[in-house]
Amino acid sequence: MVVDGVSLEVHRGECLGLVGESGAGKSLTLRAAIGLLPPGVRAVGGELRLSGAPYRASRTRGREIGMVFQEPTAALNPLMRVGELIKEGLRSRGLKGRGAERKVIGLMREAGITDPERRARSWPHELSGGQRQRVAIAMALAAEPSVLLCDEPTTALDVTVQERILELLDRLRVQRDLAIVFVTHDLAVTARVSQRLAVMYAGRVVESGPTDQLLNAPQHPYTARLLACLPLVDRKRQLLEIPGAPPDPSAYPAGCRFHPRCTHARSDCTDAPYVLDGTQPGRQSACIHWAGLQDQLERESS
Amino acid sequence: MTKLRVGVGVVAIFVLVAVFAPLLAPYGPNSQNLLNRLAGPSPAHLLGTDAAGRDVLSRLFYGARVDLPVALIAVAIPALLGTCLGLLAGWYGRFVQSAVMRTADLVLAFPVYVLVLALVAALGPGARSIIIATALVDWVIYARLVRAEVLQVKGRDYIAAARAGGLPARRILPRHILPNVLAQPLVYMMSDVVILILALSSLSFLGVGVPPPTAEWGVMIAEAEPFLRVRPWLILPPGLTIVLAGIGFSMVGDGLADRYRR
Amino acid sequence: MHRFGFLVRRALQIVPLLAVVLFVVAALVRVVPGDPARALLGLGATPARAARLDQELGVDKPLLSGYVDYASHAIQGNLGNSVKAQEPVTTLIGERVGVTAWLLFFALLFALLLALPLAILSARRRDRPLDHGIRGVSVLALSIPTFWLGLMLVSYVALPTGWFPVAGFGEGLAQHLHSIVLPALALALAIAPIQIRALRVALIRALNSDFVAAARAMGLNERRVLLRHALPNAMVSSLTLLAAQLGALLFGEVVVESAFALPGLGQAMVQAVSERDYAVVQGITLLAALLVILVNLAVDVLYALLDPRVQVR
Repeated sequence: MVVDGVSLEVHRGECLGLVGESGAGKSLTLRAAIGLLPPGVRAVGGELRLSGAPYRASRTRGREIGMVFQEPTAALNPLMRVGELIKEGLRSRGLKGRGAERKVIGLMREAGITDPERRARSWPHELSGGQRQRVAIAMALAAEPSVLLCDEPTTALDVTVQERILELLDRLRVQRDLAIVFVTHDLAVTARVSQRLAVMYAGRVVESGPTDQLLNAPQHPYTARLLACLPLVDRKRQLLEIPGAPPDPSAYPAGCRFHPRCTHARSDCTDAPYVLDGTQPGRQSACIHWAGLQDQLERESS
Repeated sequence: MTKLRVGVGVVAIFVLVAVFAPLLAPYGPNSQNLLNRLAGPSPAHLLGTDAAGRDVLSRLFYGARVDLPVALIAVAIPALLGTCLGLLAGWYGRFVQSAVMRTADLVLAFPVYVLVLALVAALGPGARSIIIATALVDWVIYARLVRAEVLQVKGRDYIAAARAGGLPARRILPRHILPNVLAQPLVYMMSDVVILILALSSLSFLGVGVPPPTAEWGVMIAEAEPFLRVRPWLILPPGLTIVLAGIGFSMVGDGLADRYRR
Repeated sequence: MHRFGFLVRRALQIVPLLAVVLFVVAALVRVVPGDPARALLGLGATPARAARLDQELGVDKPLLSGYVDYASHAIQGNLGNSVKAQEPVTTLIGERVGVTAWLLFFALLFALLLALPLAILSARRRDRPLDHGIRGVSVLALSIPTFWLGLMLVSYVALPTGWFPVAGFGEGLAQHLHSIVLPALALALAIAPIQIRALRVALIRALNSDFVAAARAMGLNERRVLLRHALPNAMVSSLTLLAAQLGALLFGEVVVESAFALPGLGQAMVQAVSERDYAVVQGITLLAALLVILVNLAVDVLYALLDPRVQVR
């Protein structure tokens, strides 16, 4: 069991950031939501709901839910022109022919692709990384989804291009009233686009809450350590690394799964049950010692 | 693992039969009995007799003494030659590399076994010609395989260290490179043996390989051909024997490939 | 036009290759132990006939000028004369090339019709019993001698049912078609296993790729994902296989023509080899090498046309 007990909720017009180290199960969670688990991985339980109604991932793909991938180069079929690729997305809505072509140009323009009439006839390999990701976003939007899943969509891009794509996603969220789930290992990126955050560790959500609150006053030691790793300009402190490596899914530690790497761990952490408890309105933490954490962190930094 | 074991078992049986054919075979490969031609299976002749009244089972056993050694020798020579050339080409870039690889490209411009056939025409029929012709053509595949492997291994740290430490090529190549690049050619050798057994029996069937009346599996099929209408089962034993030998070597190859992949 | 330049450059590459191929073919006669003319004519060799044949085969001259002669004649469409058939080699090839082309075409067609669905089934049911079964049968099929398979088809299909002719090519289109079925099937079964194996691997890679995930994420049904996205990529990446398989295909052609007594080039080659009719052996070898070179060229060109990424080099 790589991922279990993860429950996420995202509203229209809102971006939820899903953060954690690589191997925490962020991408698997995302792929389970759209029914695209890699071979050898199965979903054994869980429930998906859309506007309150349960749905089957394979039925909803490309209608209510769209997805943007990490590597735009790998996610675009190299043998199809950009325009054809986006038109594929329109098929699931039954749109073909002339109307579809006009719609393709519209989508490309909405995704911020300059000169869309000409670009529609380009091959994916002729575009820059940023342009490719815009094409991928246009493909995901073709089905007019209400939910957009983004799997590290800026990780493979240059920093300046990253910022442009984040701006684009932000604009689309507002204009289209989209619900976005944004998976990343980069807290700085997610701080930029998401209103709420969920932090994952070893296949579980360990903390969630509004982005600004969670970044200013983390209620789980893991979040605190992630924050300490961030190279912020105004911070004089030395960068910290989290000692140790994330656990292997075949041998998760008992109790709180973070306790072997946690500097605040106490003896009762080794058999602490996993409960994501409400701490404040809109905030939750899985740390049984969350209440005392803030004081300890302040004492450390002074 | 079981694949490798079954394969080795099958191959071992073939080798044992080849070695001990004179002891195992109830009759001589060419002892005719014209009074008992084209007979069906019987206690005296378990697989019946052929058009000359020879015991089919005995001929199958003796056939292993022809097909296996010829195929193995015909594979071993180009494998050895190609491995050496591939090693040199991979190790000494530039001139050696382009000389070996251009020659290889040229050989590949020919359909391999059509060229073998043409060479057999020039050299005259027989197992010797097939071995020579195969050696001239088949080394190319080994050279390419080994060269690609050498290029990969060459970049590894411990090789760089050995070279920086001033170890000469004649020490590095056999000790450090060779053991690391042998897996690929070894695995290919197994499928090559299958190809060679098929090619040898095909050429014999076509009348340009091992000449009759030698007990060889392809020859046996060719000798059975005129009796397809009256004794259709006569082509079964030699054909199935070839298939079984092929499966044995293929399984050894697959098993080795699985083992090296880990 | 990048693409046009690439094609021209690629096409020009075959010129030196052709020159060396001609050299090898011309030199074939030189490796004959002893005297080729005497080997060919056997006991009927009078000094005068032998000398004339030596001259015709070019072995009376030094290697290089013999090559120049052979090459310049070949380029003008003169491949020498068949001693046994008493006719120009080009005439002999012309009479027989049709049968060979028929067999090659239908064998490839059958192989593709067999390999494509089986590879798709195997890749989509990866590591399930069906996949194991298809792969097992492929290994088995690779060990079956093609000529034996041909004879098996004759003795257990053609003869008992009487549905197919046992040998020969017949007269007229209908009989041609009728008599090509079993030989083409035998040849197809010889090359299909490799195609299945390669296509399966390429398909599995394509099906696991992000672009297929993206196509699925857009809500396309599996059929469209397979046919429009996964399969074209898998087929393009296994195109080179077609060229690599040509050697096996042509040898299979020779064997199958002999097993079914089809009057094609393969049969002529075998006959020429056993009769030591060197000019014919040379001519057919040259033709086969030419085919390999041209198919390699065609595959590269096809690659450039089908895969937009191939243009620059």
